[in-house]
Formats: sequence, C-alpha cells, structure tokens
Amino acid sequence: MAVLEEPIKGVPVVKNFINGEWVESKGELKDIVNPAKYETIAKVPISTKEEVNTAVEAAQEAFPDWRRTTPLARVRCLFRLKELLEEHFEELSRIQTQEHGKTIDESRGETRRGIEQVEVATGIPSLMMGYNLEDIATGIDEYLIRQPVGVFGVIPAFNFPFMIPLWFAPYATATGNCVVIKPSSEDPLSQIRLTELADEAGFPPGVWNIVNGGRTVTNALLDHPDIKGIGFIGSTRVARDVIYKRCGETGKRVIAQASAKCYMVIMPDCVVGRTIPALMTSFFGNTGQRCLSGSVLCVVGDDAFYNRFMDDVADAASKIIIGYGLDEAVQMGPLRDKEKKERIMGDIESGLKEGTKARLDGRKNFKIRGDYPDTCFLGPSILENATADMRVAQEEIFGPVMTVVRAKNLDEAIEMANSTRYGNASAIFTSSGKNAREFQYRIESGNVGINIGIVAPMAFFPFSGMKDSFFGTLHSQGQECIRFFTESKVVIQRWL
Amino acid sequence: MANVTRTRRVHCALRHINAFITEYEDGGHKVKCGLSRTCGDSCPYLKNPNYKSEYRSAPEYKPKEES
Repeated sequence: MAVLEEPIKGVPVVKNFINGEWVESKGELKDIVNPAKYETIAKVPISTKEEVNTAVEAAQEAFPDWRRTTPLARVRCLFRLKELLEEHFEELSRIQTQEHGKTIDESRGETRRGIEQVEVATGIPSLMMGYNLEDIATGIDEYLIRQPVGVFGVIPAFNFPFMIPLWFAPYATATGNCVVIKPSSEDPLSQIRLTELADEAGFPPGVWNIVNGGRTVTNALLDHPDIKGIGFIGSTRVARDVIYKRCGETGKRVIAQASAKCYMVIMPDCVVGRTIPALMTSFFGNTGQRCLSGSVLCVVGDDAFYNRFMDDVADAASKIIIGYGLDEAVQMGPLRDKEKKERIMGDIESGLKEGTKARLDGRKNFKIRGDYPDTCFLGPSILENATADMRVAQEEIFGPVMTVVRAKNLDEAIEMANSTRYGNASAIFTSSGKNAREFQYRIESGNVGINIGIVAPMAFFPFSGMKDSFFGTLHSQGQECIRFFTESKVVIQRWL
Repeated sequence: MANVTRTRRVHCALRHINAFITEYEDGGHKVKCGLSRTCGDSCPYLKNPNYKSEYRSAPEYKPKEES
C-alpha cells in the first residue's frame, strides 16, 4: 500500500475569514506541526479580541437578512457544500492526517461523518417546523414556531478538527443563525479548507466566519454580548469552569461536551472473535485521542477466561502497525504533539506506581513503519491489575492506554463504571440480551454501546453525554441541536 | 441485453459509503452509487467488481487452536 501525497505544501500562513473575505490577522503566529514528521507545515495566527469583535459585528449585521432568507434557499448552500465536500473528500481527509496525525482511513471516516451532518441539516425545512392545535378553547388556536436566535460561537477540540465544527455550523446556519468558528489552533487547516468550500457554496458574507487563535479568542466570544450561544468541545476543566460558568454569567445558551473515561465491559459470553478487533479500534483508534475511546477494559469472568482473553487482546495490540497516517498500511498514527506524549507517558508511570502491571508498555519496544522521528509516537499500552479506585481507572488519559480491571459479575462491573465522574460512553460485549438490557438500564452514560466499540451517535441522533462529560441541556446533532439553535415562540390566536 | 445475475451491496473503504454492484450473465457489471459522478474513473469497482481494500483498521484476529 502506498504513502499518499501530502496536500499541504510549503508553509502557508493561515488567515481569518470575516464578512466573506480572507484577512490577515495582526496576532502572533504559531507553528502547526505535522506530528508524524515533526515538521512545520503552516503558521496560524493567535488573533486579537478586536478581530473577534469585527467578526461578531459582521455576523450580527448579516443575521437579519439571513434569517429572512427562506429555509429552502438557506439549505441550497448546504446542498452545494455537500457536493463540494464530496469533490474534495480525499484532499480534506489527507489534510486531517497531515495536521493531526490520524490514519488516512480514520480521516476518511471523519470526513464522512462531517458530511453526514451537512446532509442531515439540509432537512431543515421539515426539521425546523413547529406544531399547532386548533380549538384549544372555543375559536382559539395555538401554534409553536421556531425562530433563529442570532450569532453563535463554535469552539471545537483538536481531536476531530474537521468534523466537530460540523456538529454545529450546518444546523446553526440552516436554521437562520450566523456563526463565528474558532478552529483548534493545533490543527486548523482542514477547517480553513472547509470554510473556503463554504464560501464557494454561496453563504453570504458574515454568515460563516473563522477567527483563529487561542484563549483570547475564546474569552472574546464568551464576553461578547451579541454571541447568543456557544458550542464547545474540550476538557471538563474548561467546559465546566470556563465555558459553562461564563455562559451562565452572560446569559448564553451552551453545549459544552467534555472529558470521558469510557468503560468497555467484557462478559464471558461475548463473541471473542468480533470483540477483539472492536476493542483495538476503540482503545487505540485515533491513537486514543477520542472522547468515545475505550479507556478501561472491565473483564467479568474466571481466571481461565480472563487469561485467555487478555492473551488475545495483548497479542492483537502488539501487532498494530504504527507510522505516518498517509501510509495506507498504518493502523495507528502519532499523538498530536510531543507534550501530549509526555503527559501520557507520565500517566503510564503513575499507573505503574499505583500498582498496575504493564502487559504492554507503549513507551518502549514499538516499531515505527518508515523513517519518521519518534517525537510524538507511542505504542499501545495495557495496564493490568488495576482497581476501579486508581487514578488510571478514574481520570481521562486521552491516549493509547488500556487500563484493565476485573469484576466478579455484571453488577460489580456496572458499579465500577458508574464510579467514575464521567458519563460519555460505555459499552458491553455480550451475547445475552438480559445482560445487555440490564447494562443499558443502569449505566450512567450518555452513549451506550452493545457490542459496539466506538459508541458514536449518527448525525440524526444527539451526541449525548452526562455527569462531568457534559454541561448544558440540549446536545449537539439531531433534533436537540435544532432546538438549541432556535427560540420556541408560542402564538395563541383568536380572530374576532 | 444480458440478464442480471445478482445485485450486491459493498462497502467502499475509500469513501466510507455503501454502493451496489449489479452483475450480468455475460460477465459485465455496473456500479450504482450516489457518488459515481464525483469519483469518476477513480472508482475501484469499475475495473474490478470484486475489489476489496487491503486496509485493516486493526490486526486480523485469529483464534488460537484449543490445545
């Protein structure tokens, strides 16, 4: 299988997209590094508060005309965008691999999941409809209409640089709102290309804006009185202490999706042959940098089952092909940057100090396919002998590390899984419907998998989450997202 | 015109979508896919209706023989 050509050449300087124009930022420039080669591929500005204000003003100015544009006309831009995304599918996917490090197959999957958001949002003329009832009293009718709210800020995470902004922007714009997106400053390039295509798709100036940067941009969006709501994906610390809190103080709507610690519960009656590959992509796919990644493997059963099962898990994990994601044979890419690698190495070390035993230690003894520096690479790690109260079983690692705990039975497994403060996703692997139902019923998790390793809801279902994995009321994607981006207005009428 | 022998659904690993292959008695085949126009000649199923990507997202699992 071939090493594919890189789409980003030279070292371009990223611009902001404000009011339908690409404009240079006055902010300082930061390097965007391809983590597999550890070389700079672009420079991104850390934009100023004034630049955010200009973007919000442009969006606010565009809003009255955009909201009066018919829903059918609005979604024509999305139909065109969908076509353009299909035409540039491979280019967009390769950009993600180059800027983030994930494998090309993972990038293609991400591009597809992003396009699906656009496809679902094209249904707005139906999805946005209200409802009515005649004769709520004699001669009086009542109906509900949904109206757009204004300008929204979108602050996505680095781990899915292309897809996450699409959890929000298509729904926001299709319902008649305008957006200001702050792409992750670690990997903004696929988002820049997406915005070029959105521009080509016909969105009028000011409806879809991009302001690059870091904390200054986030704070400016949170402080701006014309920003009516924020869509955020990131850590629990920022989601709870910054985004949710400040949105509360400034009266903004908020969807803040946060950290996770996903339990994968293995019952002795699982179909082992289907479970092992699912676990590999769950724990080690996207190099573990996924809020839906398996993080704790909880094995139920006796020693004989455990030993046989874990031999197979370790054997499969040790065979994962590591390298540059544009090499089509590679199954796991590098981490996004060396700071993340160092943090995860520290987490592995602290797990060992807590008393776990490394069946596989990803810090050493892994091979990189091809001639690439090991700066951001880590192999898969498996830490056995963990207990549910250990830090490695409680706190998010966000890397290719499998912490293994054992439970006597399903009750104990559910209890352990519910002991974490997070509630993003959990899964059970079993061939028993009774076990599956019990798990689904009692698990404290917004997304539940039954024989599914990556519990990612499709675009027409909400991306749920609970406990410390989610702050807000309505979730991204699907109908909940449409409610988030619209105000419900109830009209009661009597004609005399 | 040759008769259809079967139509089957395939998963295109390049686009992460489903497509349909219709096979005919005379050995010919047609690809039915919503992205045919976008992909054009680069569609691997046009040349080979039995195309299978070599890529595996995880190592293949082979259960050990019971001793």
